[in-house]
Amino acid sequence: MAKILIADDSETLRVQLRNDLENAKHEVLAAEDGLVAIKKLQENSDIQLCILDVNMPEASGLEVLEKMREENLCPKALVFMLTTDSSPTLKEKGKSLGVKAWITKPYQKESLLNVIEKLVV
Amino acid sequence: MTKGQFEESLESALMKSSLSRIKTFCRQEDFHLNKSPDVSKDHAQKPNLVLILISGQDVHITLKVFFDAKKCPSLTEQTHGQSDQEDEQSHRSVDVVKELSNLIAGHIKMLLDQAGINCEISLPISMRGYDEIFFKDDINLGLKKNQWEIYRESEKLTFVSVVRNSLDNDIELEYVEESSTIELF
Repeated sequence: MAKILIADDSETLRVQLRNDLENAKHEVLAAEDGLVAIKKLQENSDIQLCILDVNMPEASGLEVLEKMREENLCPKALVFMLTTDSSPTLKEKGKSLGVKAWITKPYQKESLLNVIEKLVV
Repeated sequence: MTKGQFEESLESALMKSSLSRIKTFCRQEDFHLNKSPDVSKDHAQKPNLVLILISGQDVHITLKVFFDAKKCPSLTEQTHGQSDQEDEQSHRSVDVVKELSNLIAGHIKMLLDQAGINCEISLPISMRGYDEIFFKDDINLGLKKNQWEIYRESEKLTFVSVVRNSLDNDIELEYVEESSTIELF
């Protein structure tokens, strides 16, 4: 079981992801935009995995990640990007900031849970 | 591939992507595509509109989705369950269509990237009321417009794409159905 932060501006995506992760016995915190995600990270230093959308209001997923690095928030947490955007430039930026997995939406539950099992748990 | 063939490939990709994404995202297989809907009579019955832009230097696509958020329960039933409250149902349906338009736009952006055409996508915008205030036909000269419908039983979503293409070169656009990849670093 892992403590996981999910950040996505789509309520439906958050509900799907929360259901899938909680059914696999993970603990889930959810944020509807980048600023709320940063606040959750500041308040929960024991988060083990962040699953971040790229295109979000207030702050993008990559901006959240930059903030994590600047403020050393949850330094041991792994970061996965979950996004429709698969451009090589963005992936390179994510990689340079320490992203461990780039997941293209719509995600497949089994594949996502397998990766979490392999890398986080 | 000529400019006309490129635009036809793009239209085809938009239709295929909209069908595959709605099936996957809504976790419902029984959605269908109608490539030539007669939508002239029922526009007034679709008071909701979601709009997203896919924009680059040479290609600009506006994708619009018209629907009635109160009459599309299958969009949300697998994720949220059924709601008795009309407002809640409506809010959730709009959220699904916004994310759906984001999924389609992201897929098309990827196909354009692979063809060497760089684009960015906007956040989806939702609004109420059927009104072609954007890109009215009479000021739409040179733009390629297409419309199609995704339906499940009596529920219908009408998609409209408006494409501005100023590419000079012949470009191949290949449709690749690449949903859900996980790349590990």
